Amino acid sequence: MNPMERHAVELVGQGEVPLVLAHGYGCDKTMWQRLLPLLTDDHRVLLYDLMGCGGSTLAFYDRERYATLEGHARDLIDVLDAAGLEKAVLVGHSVSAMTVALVATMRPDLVDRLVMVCPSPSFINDGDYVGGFERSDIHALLETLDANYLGWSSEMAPVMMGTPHMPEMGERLSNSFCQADPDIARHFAHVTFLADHREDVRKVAQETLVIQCKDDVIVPPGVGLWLERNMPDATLVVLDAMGHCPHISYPAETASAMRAFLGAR
Amino acid sequence: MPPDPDRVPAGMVTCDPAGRVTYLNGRMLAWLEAEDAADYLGRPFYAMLAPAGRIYFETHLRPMLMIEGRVSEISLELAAASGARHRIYLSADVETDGDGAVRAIHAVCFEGTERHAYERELLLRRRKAEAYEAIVAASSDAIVNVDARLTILSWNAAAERLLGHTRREAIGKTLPTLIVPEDRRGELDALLRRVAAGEAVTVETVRRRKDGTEIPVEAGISRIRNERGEFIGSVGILRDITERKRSERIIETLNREVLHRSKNLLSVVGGMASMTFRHTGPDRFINVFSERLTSLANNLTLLVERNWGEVALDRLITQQLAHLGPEAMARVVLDGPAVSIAPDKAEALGMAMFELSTNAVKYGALSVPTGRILIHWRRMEDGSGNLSLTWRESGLSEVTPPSREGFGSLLTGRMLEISLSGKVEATYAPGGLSWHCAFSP
Repeated sequence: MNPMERHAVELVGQGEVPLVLAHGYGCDKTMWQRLLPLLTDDHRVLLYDLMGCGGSTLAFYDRERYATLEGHARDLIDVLDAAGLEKAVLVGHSVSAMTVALVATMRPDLVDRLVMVCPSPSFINDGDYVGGFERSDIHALLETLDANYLGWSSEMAPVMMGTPHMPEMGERLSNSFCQADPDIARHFAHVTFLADHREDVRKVAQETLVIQCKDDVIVPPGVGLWLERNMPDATLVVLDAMGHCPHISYPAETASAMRAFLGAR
Repeated sequence: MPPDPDRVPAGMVTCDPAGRVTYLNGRMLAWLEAEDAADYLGRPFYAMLAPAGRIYFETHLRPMLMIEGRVSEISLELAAASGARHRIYLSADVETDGDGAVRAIHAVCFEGTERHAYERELLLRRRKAEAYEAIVAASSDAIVNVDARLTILSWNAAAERLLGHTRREAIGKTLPTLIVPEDRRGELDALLRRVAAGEAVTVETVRRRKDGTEIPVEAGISRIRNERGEFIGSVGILRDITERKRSERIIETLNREVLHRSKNLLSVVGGMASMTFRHTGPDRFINVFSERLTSLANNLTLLVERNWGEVALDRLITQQLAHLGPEAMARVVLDGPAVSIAPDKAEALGMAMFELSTNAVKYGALSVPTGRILIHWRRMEDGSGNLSLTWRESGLSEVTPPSREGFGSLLTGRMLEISLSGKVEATYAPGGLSWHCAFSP
């Protein structure tokens, strides 16, 4: 099975600068669906599911390979190679902002620029650095996951379906959206929230746009500033927005920040 | 009368499209231990949640609400003003206008303390059950679960290996018809009565494999009861004891063999003692007798090494001649094909070889520097399969046949003929002794 199938890759739109969208922890590539129509007129856009999420082939989820984000970074390199994309702009949401940063240093030939949407190089408070959480919070998160993946059988599972205002999405999504295999979800939560990538992002030479929401409970305001100061070539844009998913809640604002960055050259 | 939201036994929250609280009812305030709704109005909904819930809200719930329009029965913890946590289940719907733009988010929360405790218990039990399943799957013993009517409910991989039926073939079948030989069914009924009464039984018995062969097993059976304590079935652990049974049989045979041979040996030793004494008298008795005992002991070693099985003739001879030392052995030639000797014959033949060798040292070919011995054997060509074994000495200028028939000549002569059911001849030719023996090995 090739990487395109393994990661349920979709390629849409046309344009000179290729964009690659990497979704964050918790959901799958469907997260991009509101932003997507705002990008496809000017760009060839590649979307994929991280291994263990959405339509990816779960049988390939190997706890050793995915014990760090490097496994996901190698996946993305495989996808880019298979799709024949070079000099792409990698867009990573949340934890995947760190994955695209790793790819940028591992294979600079593939990566022209980076867009980090609500990134955080480390979620755990550490001295002066305010990541926003304590280790105990992350362990409580794992318990919350357990509490909500309790049944994993149809009669017990929380109903996470139904799309009254988007019926066209309902059918396709109902079985996968935001519902991962509980063991994989736990494992990925560990990898996501307990990792520290502050040293990795210092090595990213490519021009980087950091998009942050003014009020994001997962990423405290100081984190965006930390990235702008510590990455060689990063620009911070703070959206007047709430939440951790501006591409879902504020697609127009997110797209215009991206367009300004992509057209800046 | 319209319902009073502050008296409804559920929490109610409404948020604006960004997720800021625009309304919360009395029950919600009570759970949060807040006096005044103003403490929460205008603030993000997640401010009511513990930190883990905030992450969960942003990574799962907000995307789901925005993309799918609703969430149901999500388990969350409210963080009360005092620091206490209150478990709730939250369901929420997104209200949109005609263009699909979000107008408001309406959430209702139900008391969740008891349901959560119950679900945690279920979760723990499921993990425990999964751990047991893993143990059963990996067990090298066959583990079979049956209901009260002996219908097979589970059948692990080891059961497939032991009994030959696959899981698919076994499940749903009746245990006795599938694997219990007819003559053991009464025994099983009796065992199951004891099991149903609460006894855990272990028994050695026999089960039948798919190919019809029977296999000895150790079966441990215990009962399973339902939550009301009623007998609903049993679980059996079957261990293949073919090897154990075989070892037990071998040990039994060996014990009998050892007893039998020890008795024989003691009578040989007794006979040997009196015969030796008669020929040597008291002065030389100890020396000669202990040499013969050593020869016997060597034979015994070889027989035990061979597990009381057949012994290779060349090894038998080499061992009985080992006392000659390397210099003398250089003058002895062994020549013949590989032949095995039955254990009872090996004992007598070994003692004869020893006698011949001590005589050769004292009076024969090995008593002079130029003497040599050829020990030669071959299968006879008469179709009998009998063996012809020759001991030929050479290099002696003067040969004197022994003046009287001593115990040594009995060992190499008449006694040997009886033990081997064979024929022995000894001639004193010029140059040395020529000894020949024909027997069925």
